[in-house]
Amino acid sequence: MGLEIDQVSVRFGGLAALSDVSLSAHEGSITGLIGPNGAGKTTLFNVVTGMQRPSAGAVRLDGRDLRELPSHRRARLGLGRTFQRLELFGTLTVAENIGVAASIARRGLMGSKSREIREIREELLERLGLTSLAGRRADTLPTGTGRLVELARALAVRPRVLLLDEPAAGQDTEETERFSLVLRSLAADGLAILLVEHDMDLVMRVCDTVVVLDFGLVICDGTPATVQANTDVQAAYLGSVVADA
Amino acid sequence: MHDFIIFTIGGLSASGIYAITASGLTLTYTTTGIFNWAHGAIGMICAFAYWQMSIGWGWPTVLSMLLCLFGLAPLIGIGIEALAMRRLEGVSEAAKLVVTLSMAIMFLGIAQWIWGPTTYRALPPLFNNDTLVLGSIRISYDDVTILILALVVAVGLRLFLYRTRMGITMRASVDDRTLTSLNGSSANTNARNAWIIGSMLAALAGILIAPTLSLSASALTLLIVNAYAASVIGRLRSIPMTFVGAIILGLSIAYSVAYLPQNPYIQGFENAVPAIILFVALLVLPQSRLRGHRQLRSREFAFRPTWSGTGIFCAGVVITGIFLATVVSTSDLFSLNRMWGLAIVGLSIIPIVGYAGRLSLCQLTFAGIGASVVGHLGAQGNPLSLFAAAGVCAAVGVLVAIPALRLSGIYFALATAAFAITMDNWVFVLPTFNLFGHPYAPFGSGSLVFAPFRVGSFALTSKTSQFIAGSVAFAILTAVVVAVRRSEFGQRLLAMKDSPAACATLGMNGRASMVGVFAFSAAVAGVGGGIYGMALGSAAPDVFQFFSGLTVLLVMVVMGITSAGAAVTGGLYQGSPIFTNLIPNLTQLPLVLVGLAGLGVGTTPNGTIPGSVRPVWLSVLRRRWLLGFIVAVAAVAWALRLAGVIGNWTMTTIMLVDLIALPAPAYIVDYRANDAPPAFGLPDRRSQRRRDASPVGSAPGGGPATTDDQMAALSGAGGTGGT
Amino acid sequence: MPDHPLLEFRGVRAAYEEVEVLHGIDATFDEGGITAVLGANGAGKSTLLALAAGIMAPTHGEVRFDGERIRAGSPSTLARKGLCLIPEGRGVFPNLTVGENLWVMTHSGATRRHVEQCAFDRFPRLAERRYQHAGTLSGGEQQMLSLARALATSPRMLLLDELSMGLAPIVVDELYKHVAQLAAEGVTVVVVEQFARTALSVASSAIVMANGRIVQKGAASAVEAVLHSAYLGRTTPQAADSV
Ligand SMILES: Nc1ncnc2c1ncn2[C@@H]1O[C@H](COP(=O)(O)OP(=O)(O)OP(=O)(O)O)[C@@H](O)[C@H]1O
Ligand SMILES: Nc1ncnc2c1ncn2[C@@H]1O[C@H](COP(=O)(O)OP(=O)(O)OP(=O)(O)O)[C@@H](O)[C@H]1O
Ligand SMILES: [Mg+2]
Ligand SMILES: [Mg+2]
Repeated sequence: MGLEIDQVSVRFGGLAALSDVSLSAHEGSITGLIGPNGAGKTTLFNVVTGMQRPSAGAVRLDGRDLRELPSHRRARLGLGRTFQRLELFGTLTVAENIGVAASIARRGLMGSKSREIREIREELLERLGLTSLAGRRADTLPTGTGRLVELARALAVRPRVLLLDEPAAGQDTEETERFSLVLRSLAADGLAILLVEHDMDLVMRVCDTVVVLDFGLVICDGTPATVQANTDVQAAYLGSVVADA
Repeated sequence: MHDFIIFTIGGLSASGIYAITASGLTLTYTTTGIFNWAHGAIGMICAFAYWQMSIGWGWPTVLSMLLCLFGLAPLIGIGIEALAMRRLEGVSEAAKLVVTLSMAIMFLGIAQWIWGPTTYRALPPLFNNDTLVLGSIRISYDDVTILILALVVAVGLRLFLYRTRMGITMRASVDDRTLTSLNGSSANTNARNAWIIGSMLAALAGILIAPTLSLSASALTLLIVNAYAASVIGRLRSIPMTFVGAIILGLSIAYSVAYLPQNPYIQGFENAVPAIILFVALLVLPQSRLRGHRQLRSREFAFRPTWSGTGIFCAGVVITGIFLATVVSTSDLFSLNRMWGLAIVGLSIIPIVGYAGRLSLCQLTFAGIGASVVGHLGAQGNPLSLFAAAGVCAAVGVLVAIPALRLSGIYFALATAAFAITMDNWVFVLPTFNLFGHPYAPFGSGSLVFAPFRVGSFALTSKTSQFIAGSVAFAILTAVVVAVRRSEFGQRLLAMKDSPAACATLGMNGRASMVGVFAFSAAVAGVGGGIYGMALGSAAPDVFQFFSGLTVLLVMVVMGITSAGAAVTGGLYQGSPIFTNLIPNLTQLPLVLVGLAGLGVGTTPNGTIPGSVRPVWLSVLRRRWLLGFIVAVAAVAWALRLAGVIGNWTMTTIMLVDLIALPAPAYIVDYRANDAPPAFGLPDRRSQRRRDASPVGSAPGGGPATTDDQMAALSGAGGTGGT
Repeated sequence: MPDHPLLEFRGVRAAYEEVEVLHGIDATFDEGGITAVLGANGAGKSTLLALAAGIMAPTHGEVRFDGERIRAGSPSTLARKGLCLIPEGRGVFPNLTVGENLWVMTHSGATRRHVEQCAFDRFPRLAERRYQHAGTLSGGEQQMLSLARALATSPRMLLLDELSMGLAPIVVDELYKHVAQLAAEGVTVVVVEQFARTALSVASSAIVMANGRIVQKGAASAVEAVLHSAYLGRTTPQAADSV
């Protein structure tokens, strides 16, 4: 169960951004998706969330084919994501950002609704260490903090599969540290997480499996250790960093 | 065949004018990001100046033309950039619209002021009606010149924008002004050049078209509306496609005039052709994909009204209604009566424009539809017809929204404008036709008569009762709009405005929400239209004209697009003759003043009420005794006036002092104590108080670093740490 | 050598809408070499660069470039004088093509051909994307495009804000090689980073910021040692000068 990406291809004019990419993300595990810039990682996320139509291939969530479903229907089936370039609700406060998301998911339950939303909001603020910033307008946050708010907002709709596009970019060492703990605890709660990230320390530490894309092709997948040892991956992506370490 | 060629040539010559105008629009949009509603007005001013020089003062034609094109037009461009455009970064689409609209209104006012509209002025053709003879066809040199000039302009602009560094940096500044200056070109200079070139193109079109239209300020200003269609065919981006669009437009208009059957149902259709082409062009635009947008910091703020504040406001509205109804003379009340209907139309702008951020320009049109429904169904004065009006408008709203809402930003605004103009020119003036088996003419034969509302034996026949009822209706609808804003739906609309992509990935059906809010706004406007119609007694379609609607929107934006108080101001401005009564000799002055106020929107993007009035009154509300005192003074003044002890002027003076001079000191005290939100463009000092209280801010810089500081450097204490 | 530093901050304080975020910065950047500016998220590093580039005005104190006081609102003049800021995360014009973006960079006399050559030599990928709108480039490609300005316009001083954010490790390595090479050619470079390691490996000196002030400055190796020990939980500051 979880998310299954089956032979997805995307072309932009003459450019093959993705060619026959297949991978899956399972409940309770973190799958890293790495690859050089322009490899097609964000494009893959766009395909999964329905923001980009693939030229071929299928995406399935718990066995259900998502083709033809618009983004918001996919989200209601349990697909959440964050964006590489922040997409916060800039004029709202941090707390409102999370509250809106919770209310989208939970509408219809009149009565208990607003209390439930408040509970979700407080819990997420707490969990991501954002409580002291709750009243701050979202577009005045530094990038790294903004990413935490986006994550909290995605979690507020209680997704089962979470796609994170470079969530640690802009975070400092300490934040990344805490972030990795959050990710592990989310996985422990049973989420399937697909993580795009260029911070190799983080990827290697938290991921159960890692898939490497290059020029729209999967060139390698396996445990962090296998991937790190793969010479193709070193040549295409890791460069000297790993060799030095 | 011969006729066909003649029509084609006429159409092509018009195309040339459209092409020059529309290229100017497109150029301004691609290089400044602003859709210039004043483009026609700039051309108009230059055409009048040209007339003044060449005919009025008898200067040589060529000299006059050169002076207008290369002297006056650039000056206007420089003025616009320096006075109005500098501060527009981060303001809403509505604010941008209002700034250029204000310019148009102001230019119109100035032109009518200097060149009184009653005098007939005409300009001779450039080449004395000389013609080029090709077989049996005669083409005037003017037409040939226009076409050639249009082609030269199109080719020249295309090369300029894509093949010169200056053109490219001008396009670049729209994306990111700061980055442009980091690249070594001053963003201000770029913008100034863009406005200079845009104004010159406007002047060229104005001067070329002037001989064919007799010089009329409003006709020249409105010419621009036709050019919108051509610009949109070029997607506000491509000059060659704009040129093609202009040809399509010119020919369609020529052929429709020539070949459409003569028939009263079609007559208005001809006037609506440009608007219909605009609408179709918008609908076939490729749908904007759901993609992340650049995060530009917006200067808007999202104020969430409280119930207590709303209660006080609504009570104030009704009390003021009763108050005015008792003190204003009957004849004045007769005209003042119109304000509530228009104020409700203003209110209807709040959800769609203020909350959802979609610039709808057809709210007054919905009011027209509502008025038509109320006029027909409520012929016996049945107030339930207002609900019918709301229902019909909501339904029409859904029909318009479904195709239009896939558009965003300025395209959506243009689609609603096209809808409004089509309704104005065609549907509202249709003669009787068959609607579901009943004969129906939207506005009867010319104007529609309204019966006063009645419930049982009680009827709103007196102006006094109508006026009070209007204020009550306004107060109720204000509460409804506030309820929408405070609901989760309202919150979601704001989220949608900030990031549609994020909303979709959170599971929100953006389209449905937008259709919902559009229909809701339309319904409110419909009710407003019904009440407006009743206040008028009889209404012709022209009271619901597109441009009157724009004026209401303009006042709303100036006052604050999300506040109900702004709607009252809008109603008062548009509906009551207060300005003309105060200053009867200067009928153009209110236009110019409103224009000036609109130009200032860049400095107070959130409007006067949230920016100045609300903070001051918050200070009053904190001091219940002061509020009580102010209310008491007002009540006493009113009682004295009713008792005949004082006259209207004395009472007004007391009221003004009471409402302005008393709150001010309270605010000043709070502001001095760094404890009040900023007003009148003052800096926000509240944080200063917070900062002084925090040890981090008050520690003197430069002391020896502690290890704690070093730890903090690593641990991100400045961001999210320490919670 | 002139007797003044190339870039100098004197008692600089800065605020966003009255919220002070820099509380008195004194720093000098001498001609030549690479200085790393490190600090946590929100420490005020980007603000420091915005002040240097004339995008923002200090509320107190002054910033001097090449001995002249910087006036706010003059980034284009500064750019022409050779100060090149590559801003954080948004160094391209999304609606222009790659080729047009490069054309915009051709101030200070560089020809279009020269700029394209520099850019395409170092980043062949950009040549393939020449007619693509920059907004549709991948994050990394956008970063390469924005760095092209530094390579092509031969600035005197280069300010890089979070160069490595969102880039593949191999590209970061590559870009830092270019940066080191530029420095070797005589460009004064300031790199702002959160990842201390990459930046310190190329820098000669370093500054550490926290909560809007400078808490540490000195030679890169010394700062690295202090940071390292702090990171490991030990608390004795070492060789680097404390400010
Ligand atoms: N709309 C588009 N039109 C044309 N090409 C596109 C479009 N969107 C993406 N591309 C290209 O597709 C390729 C994949 O882009 P994508 O954004 O998926 O990369 P990525 O793996 O996320 O890279 P990064 O890590 O740098 O963000 C890039 O080369 C990009 O230039
Ligand atoms: N436009 C703004 N309005 C209000 N506050 C701002 C603005 N820009 C930045 N800030 C605040 O100023 C402080 C310093 O921000 P700055 O961007 O300089 O930090 P930074 O060190 O560059 O952080 P990062 O590593 O996240 O880029 C932060 O607390 C930030 O939230
Ligand atoms: Mg990406
Ligand atoms: Mg920064």
